[in-house]
Amino acid sequence: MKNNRGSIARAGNALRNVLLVLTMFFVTVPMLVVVWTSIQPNTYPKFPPTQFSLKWWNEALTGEWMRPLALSAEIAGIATIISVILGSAAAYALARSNSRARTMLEGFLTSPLLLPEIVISLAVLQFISMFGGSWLGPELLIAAHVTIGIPFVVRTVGVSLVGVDPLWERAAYDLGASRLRTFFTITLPLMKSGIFAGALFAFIMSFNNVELSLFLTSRSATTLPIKILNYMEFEYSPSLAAVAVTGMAGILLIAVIASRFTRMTDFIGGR
Amino acid sequence: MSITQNTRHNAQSDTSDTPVRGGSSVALRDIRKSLGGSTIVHKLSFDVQPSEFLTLLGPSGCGKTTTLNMVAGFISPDSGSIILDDEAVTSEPPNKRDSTMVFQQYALFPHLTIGENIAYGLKNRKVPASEIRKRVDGALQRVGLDGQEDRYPKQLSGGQQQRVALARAIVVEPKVLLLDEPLSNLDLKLREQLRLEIKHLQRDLGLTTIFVTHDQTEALVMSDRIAVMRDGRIEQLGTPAEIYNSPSNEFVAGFVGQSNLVDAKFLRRDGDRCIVELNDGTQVSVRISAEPTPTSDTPIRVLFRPESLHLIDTTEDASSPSIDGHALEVVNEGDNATVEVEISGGKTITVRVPDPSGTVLPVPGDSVRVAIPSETGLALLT
Amino acid sequence: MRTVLTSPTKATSVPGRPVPGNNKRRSKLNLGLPGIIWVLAVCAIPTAVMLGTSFFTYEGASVTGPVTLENYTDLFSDSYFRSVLLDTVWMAAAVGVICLILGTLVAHFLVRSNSRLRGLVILLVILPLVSSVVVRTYGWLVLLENGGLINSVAMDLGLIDAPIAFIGSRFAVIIGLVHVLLPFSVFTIMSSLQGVDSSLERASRDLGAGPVATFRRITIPLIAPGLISGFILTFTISIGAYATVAVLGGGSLQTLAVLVRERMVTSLEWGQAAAIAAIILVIGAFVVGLLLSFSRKTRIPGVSE
Repeated sequence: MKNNRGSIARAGNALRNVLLVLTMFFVTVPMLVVVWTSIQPNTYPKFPPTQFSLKWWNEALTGEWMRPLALSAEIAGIATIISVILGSAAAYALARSNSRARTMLEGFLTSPLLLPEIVISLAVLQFISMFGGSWLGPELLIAAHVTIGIPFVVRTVGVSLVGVDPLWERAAYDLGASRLRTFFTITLPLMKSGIFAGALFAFIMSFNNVELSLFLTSRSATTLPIKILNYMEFEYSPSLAAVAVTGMAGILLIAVIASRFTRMTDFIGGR
Repeated sequence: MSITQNTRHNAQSDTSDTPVRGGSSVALRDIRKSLGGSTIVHKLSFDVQPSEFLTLLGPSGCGKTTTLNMVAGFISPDSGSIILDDEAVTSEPPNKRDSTMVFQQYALFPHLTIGENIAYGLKNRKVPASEIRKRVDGALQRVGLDGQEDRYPKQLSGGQQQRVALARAIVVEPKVLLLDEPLSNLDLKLREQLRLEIKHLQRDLGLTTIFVTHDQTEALVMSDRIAVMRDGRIEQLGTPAEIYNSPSNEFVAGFVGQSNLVDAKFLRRDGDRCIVELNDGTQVSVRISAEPTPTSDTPIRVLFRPESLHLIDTTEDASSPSIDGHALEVVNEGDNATVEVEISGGKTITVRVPDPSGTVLPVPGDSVRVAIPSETGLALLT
Repeated sequence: MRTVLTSPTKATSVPGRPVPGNNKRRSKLNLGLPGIIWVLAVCAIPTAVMLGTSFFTYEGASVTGPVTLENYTDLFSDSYFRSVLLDTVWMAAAVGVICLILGTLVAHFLVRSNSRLRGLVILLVILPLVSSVVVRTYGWLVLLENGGLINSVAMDLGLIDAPIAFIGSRFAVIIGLVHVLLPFSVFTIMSSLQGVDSSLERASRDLGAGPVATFRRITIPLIAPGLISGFILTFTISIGAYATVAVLGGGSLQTLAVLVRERMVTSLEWGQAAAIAAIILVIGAFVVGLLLSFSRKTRIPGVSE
């Protein structure tokens, strides 16, 4: 009886491990496939992988693709800066105010995350054209991306501020620092990891964004993901893989830089 | 308890031997503060002498921390004034006040090293870098943490962190040092050790100090004077010996030290003594405060400290007045034992037996006789 | 990447003790004002306006006519729309459930195991978050196309004679969405699981329950709020997801989000697009409200959300 139960438990464990491994495969394989596709010569990669070619990269690393890449980076960069400023200020205000106002305002500031992005995108387009504007361009994309950047910064900075005991600010104040000096010597350094995490999220959200940008790009201002998507809907070319890898590498680089200043998992997994 | 001698000695050495630096004086005048509709501090006034260690002692919610925060400048009083060295600082913000605080939760800046933490106040005071180094080293040495300046607060134990907090507060040579229950996050042994360290440091430096605590032992051991607070008022202000031996009312008696309060009837006064009659008819001579004299037959209460009572043999003919009862509970703590005695009327009194190893302790249920040496009790007016 | 992030808990101010600068509270709240105005102007107001104008007649891009339910009645009388609506909801629900199961599996491993592979698993889970939806969808396209990897390998092995048409099937879309959304459910469940003291599970085992019974009777009830918010998250993103469906749906399988784009860009029916967007919003709000009220009703006193 006892033995039996033990072997069932062991079988259960084994099953769990197998499922786990399969899940990890499932998560990883498509991305590996993209990388692989970009460095082999055929339209569809052939298994087992034997051939190597960079010919798709020649097509990818052209102005046609690099211009949207640059625009995406520029939009994400500016949107991130604005999100960080507005979001950090709001997070600080929330962390130091009483709980009722705080719950309401935090709920409001993070509400863009609960709305389907495609709905916001459509709403913004219709709103703009209601005022006769056909004003699509990088500015509008930035404005829209900031609305989903703010919630991330509010959260991450909020989380980091939970770790900033108001007592430290009092102690600094007591030791002769002015309020401004207290903020810059005590509060800001302690918010830093939250700010970097928030900036990283805001950048990624903007740089990779599809749904929110969907109706707000124009021919003259197309971001990389939208451009790839448009292309993919009609045509299949491995050069897209090379373009996608370029974008992914850019984000990874930024993530690595940011992770020097922050532990991203602190803000994802809680504590 | 030998508090009496100890503190007297302390008080003397404070005034005569040691003033390394002249401390400053602090005065509170008619301070009032209410928060959220309830009054936290009522018309509070007291003075702290230069180099004096004054303790605000009371239960939580008595207004002691609020008072300390008003001295620090974190809270501004609704009315009244706070005077630091003959200069009113009532409306000065904390960063402009020459006082520093040691917080209960240490409040060390987690992103700064120990050295940077201690230097923080000096930098704000624009002290030159070379002098900062010297003073930080000196402060670290004083608290016994030399060589630790490059570590971070999280790498230190609770006791070490509180020493750093202390160093950070004293290094700026404040006019007044404010201690907000600095020991209550530490375990008992460390607490006892740090009590003395803080006391020595304060005396060496001649720092005027206001200390807030709810721990009566801390207050008795460390203070030059104690202000016992309740509901935003000072119940009694005096030396530890005065507070312990002559509490002015039942609250103070109950809050400081262990006390037996026994119902009695006032009979007559005899200078600073009086004769009272206990419920069982025993007449005892006890001390009484100067004023006012109650009228005869007024019911009053008499305070007996457990260590002033003795257990005697029931057969022994007592030379001093005594009460009969039986033992309820006997607790032997090794160096002393306490015996709970139930006396007539269902009341219990506690008797402390010093050095119980040499005596035969009663067991619960035994009949016992409690001797009351004359003039050890104190009559409290109800 | 929405509510994955843990929301800040209460600040550590000492209760009952006055915090300095209480009277400055108002001025501090003003710091939040620019952010609030931004969100109002670029998100809240346009969305509210669009919800309103979906009850008006449009002529092209401009709102012209009187108040009408026409945009909605037209939609609901169209049997194709009804099937798309149904498809959207059940695919989103399927994605939500699959993500919950796989997410719980991975989260449980990440929180409770002390295996050396934990770091690797975290990395593998974070990686898709960093790469764009487009990249991931492209990967699935390469795998699932008629001439793609899976079909060609299966045919080489002689498992199948003709390629299976994955693209355009619900299967492909669900796979794609689960892949995109799995990290969200992993992290939501993880943070909930971290709040459950592992000694409770040990106590259950000690009291004679097997690992499965322990998981079902102790762990699941305690992380139920996390499971619910994980489901809400993946469900609401799924009903509004565009890229994955547009590509892996191969143009033949549509969801509400794809339909919005089509009505806007292809057939220029702005009124209907607004109405569909409103429907997406309402479905999302309905499911969120339903699950949150359920989670509130079953909330155990003293167990934090």
